Amino acid sequence: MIRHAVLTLLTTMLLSACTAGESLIYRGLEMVEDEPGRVALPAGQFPPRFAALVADTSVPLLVVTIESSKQGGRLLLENSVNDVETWLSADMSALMIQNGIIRGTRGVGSELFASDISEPMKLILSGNTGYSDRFTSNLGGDDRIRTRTYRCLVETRGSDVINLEIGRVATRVMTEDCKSMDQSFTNTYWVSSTTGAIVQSRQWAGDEVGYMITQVGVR
Amino acid sequence: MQERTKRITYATGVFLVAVTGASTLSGQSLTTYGTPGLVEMPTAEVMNDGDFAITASAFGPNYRYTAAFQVLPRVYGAFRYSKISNINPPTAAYGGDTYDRSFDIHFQMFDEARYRPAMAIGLRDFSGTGVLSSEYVVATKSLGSNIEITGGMGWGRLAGRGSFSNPLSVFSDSFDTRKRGANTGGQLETGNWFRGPASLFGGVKWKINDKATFFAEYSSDLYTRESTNTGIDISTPLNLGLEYRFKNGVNLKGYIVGGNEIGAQLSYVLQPLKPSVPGGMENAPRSVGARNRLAIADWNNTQKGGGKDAVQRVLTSRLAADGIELQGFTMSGAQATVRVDNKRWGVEAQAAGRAARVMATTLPPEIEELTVVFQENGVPISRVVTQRSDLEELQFDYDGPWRTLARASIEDAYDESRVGTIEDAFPVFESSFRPYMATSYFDPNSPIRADLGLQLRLAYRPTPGLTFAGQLRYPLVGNIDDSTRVSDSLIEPVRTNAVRYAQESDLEVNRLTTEYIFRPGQDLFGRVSAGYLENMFGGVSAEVLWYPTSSRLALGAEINYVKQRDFDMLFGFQDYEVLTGHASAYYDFGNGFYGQLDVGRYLAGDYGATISIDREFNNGFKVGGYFTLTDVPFDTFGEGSFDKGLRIEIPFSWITGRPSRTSIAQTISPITRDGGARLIVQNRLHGYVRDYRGKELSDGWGRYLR
Repeated sequence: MIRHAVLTLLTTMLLSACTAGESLIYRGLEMVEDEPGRVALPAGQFPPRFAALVADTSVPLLVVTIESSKQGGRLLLENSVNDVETWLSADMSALMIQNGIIRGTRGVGSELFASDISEPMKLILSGNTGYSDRFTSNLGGDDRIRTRTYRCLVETRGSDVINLEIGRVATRVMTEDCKSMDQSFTNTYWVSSTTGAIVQSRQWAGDEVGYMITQVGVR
Repeated sequence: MQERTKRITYATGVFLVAVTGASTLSGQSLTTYGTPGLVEMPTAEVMNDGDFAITASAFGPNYRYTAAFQVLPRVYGAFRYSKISNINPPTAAYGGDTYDRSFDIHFQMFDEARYRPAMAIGLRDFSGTGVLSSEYVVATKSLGSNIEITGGMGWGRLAGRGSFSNPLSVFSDSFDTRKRGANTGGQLETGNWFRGPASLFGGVKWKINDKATFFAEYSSDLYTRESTNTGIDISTPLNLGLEYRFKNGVNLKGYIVGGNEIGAQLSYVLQPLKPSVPGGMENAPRSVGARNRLAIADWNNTQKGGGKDAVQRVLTSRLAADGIELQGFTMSGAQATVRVDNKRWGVEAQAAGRAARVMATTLPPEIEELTVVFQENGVPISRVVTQRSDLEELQFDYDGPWRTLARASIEDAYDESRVGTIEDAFPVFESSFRPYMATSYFDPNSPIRADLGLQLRLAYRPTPGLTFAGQLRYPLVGNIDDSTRVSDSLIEPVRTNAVRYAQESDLEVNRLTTEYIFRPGQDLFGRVSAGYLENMFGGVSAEVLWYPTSSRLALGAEINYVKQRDFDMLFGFQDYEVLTGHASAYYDFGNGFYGQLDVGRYLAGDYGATISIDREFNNGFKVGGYFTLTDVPFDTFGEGSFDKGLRIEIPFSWITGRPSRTSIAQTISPITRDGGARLIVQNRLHGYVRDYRGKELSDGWGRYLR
């Protein structure tokens, strides 16, 4: 009886693919789905766009880990336009980063589409404490952009020496504590005491992705 | 400073509690009827807006398969296919089992407030032959966050145990009696709604934890009709159920009905607004900028053999890598135009954004205005004009999608010239060879029948818009032709001979057509098709559509002269021929609701109209329904009284997270008869062009910069 039920449920869910008008009499299930223009690569080979960056050993590298899934990758800098850097991953997902602060994600799910981080950025890089506004937009499951705003407290948390691929780095630790009506998160930045650049960070990229850890890496 | 932080934290905490407190009464627990409730009894709950729930349940002689859809925040509807084994004596004309298709509707009048329960009114099986018919008024109140109590009054099936005379009789004596349905089914049984005696029912739902829920109810359904022959044993009014929710979203529920009948059900709720990967998994787009570096790129450098031809080669390959076929390219002064066929992107605005960014990362620096013309089979539909500097300025802006939409221009492309057509864009030859599955539903002897076989599709397109195409199928295994259903139609059998077509054919010539699609003028589209148009009919079809690019309204007219094909599905024709055609209006009501009205003459020569309503989510997930009323009287039409159906369409990208223009579409028509039957023609114009008109392009603009 249950088998009967399960079988029928599965069959009902096995809806058939067809052009709109065709469905009244015979419905065809087209089992193979093409994505035109997408070429399957031999195992171990990078897509050409990423391979070009791999070939150029002068291209900077960023180590990124998604905290919840422990998944990560070594991202390469594709370009920098108006100070916004595009860091490409081998699976062709990407992060948009400005001065070490994430402004957007592409292809990691629950898209952090873009952000205005100009106010917190000033405080974080200058080592000052204070309140700032942060604006983000997310591309949701309904393919619409939803804009959010957060009030963020940026604070200095003292100094720390951290171990990175580039060696031991003396840093100033900054936190950015953000709240909105229904969300809150705390980003942490380790700012190099010598160069003034963010060399390590733990940043929130949305409800589903959660926190991402970025670290300056070595090719 | 510290003070202030604390206050903010506190305020947020309070808000979160308020939000949690408000989210009570989510009707994700479904009954044997596949709608929100306890074991069998309904509650006043609804599902989340847009939820689509599928349920299969079985106990005793009862098998119920239900699809329920939350049409509006307060309204859900359901379609059910049910079987009751041995309800009739085995000597009955159609055997002992009965199969039934039924529709429900439920309206939540009030949602729950602090002291007031949620209240709802509903109709089960309001149009079928009536075995499951009942009506109810029900109230549900939550006590804390884990317990809900429900009480209600039912009529029809729900007025069995402890029934009393109808309280509605105070309004009219006609409420006293309920007739047993005697028509051909399918009509609204308004004359029986809330008639006859009434009974009370009620129950408790206890959420044990996040995964398990317990149900206990006092049922008013006595299963009187079933008890004669089926052996169902209802010895107590108490029904008990236990539901377990798996991590993957599947719900498994076990229950005891009437003290003895043990049953089980599986259900799954699809949430259209939650695709597998919100935002998608496609490649990150290239960022736009650094025009000065493009000036020295090889293809833009005349000293290195650069120039328009070299640019075109680079554009062709970069667009192809993004699933966009370049069909025409012009560049002069500060302006460049690409004419493209989008092969990959289900959200057309994203194709526009990808094409514009390929232009902006390829073309020489002096080009400022980027025009993308969308073509289908070489016929220009719309164009999107973007300024290159706007892309550069807004690509990382948190409000970039809105601001680029404000600055872009979407225009009709009827006047697009063919200058710059890529040499090898035409002729086109396309072919595909695949397995296929054909299904046939609701034959009482075998409710689901299927054929598996091989399918060959060929298309040859010598010039834009002109296509010679064919589809052949060869069924290898299956049981559609085992059906013994023969046409018992009282009118011209234009559809009811489907089984004969399956039985008498071997190699099926499904389609063999010549088609020409063209632009007769601004906002106008035309189509002429001739040949073997569909499995059962061949002839000529002509259509014209008026659809201004920014309009919510489109109007169309179609006329066809067709002859019925031989049952062998090869090249011969039968004697029946008919002139058929419709005038159509298409309207976008907003909020995702689309309507269509077709008025005209159908295949059997009957005159009438079809009304269709679809709710389409912005990501392309679509649920809808239609019905057709013609001058064929209900009892001449036969079972079901008139033609109607439900349809669902799920974009492949919703399931896989990868961009795709393919979707999975299924129309469920409870009964296919000969009245209100429409000719099937490929590429009806509204569906062909709608996705590229202004309203759809701007609705998808959230993905323009993706």
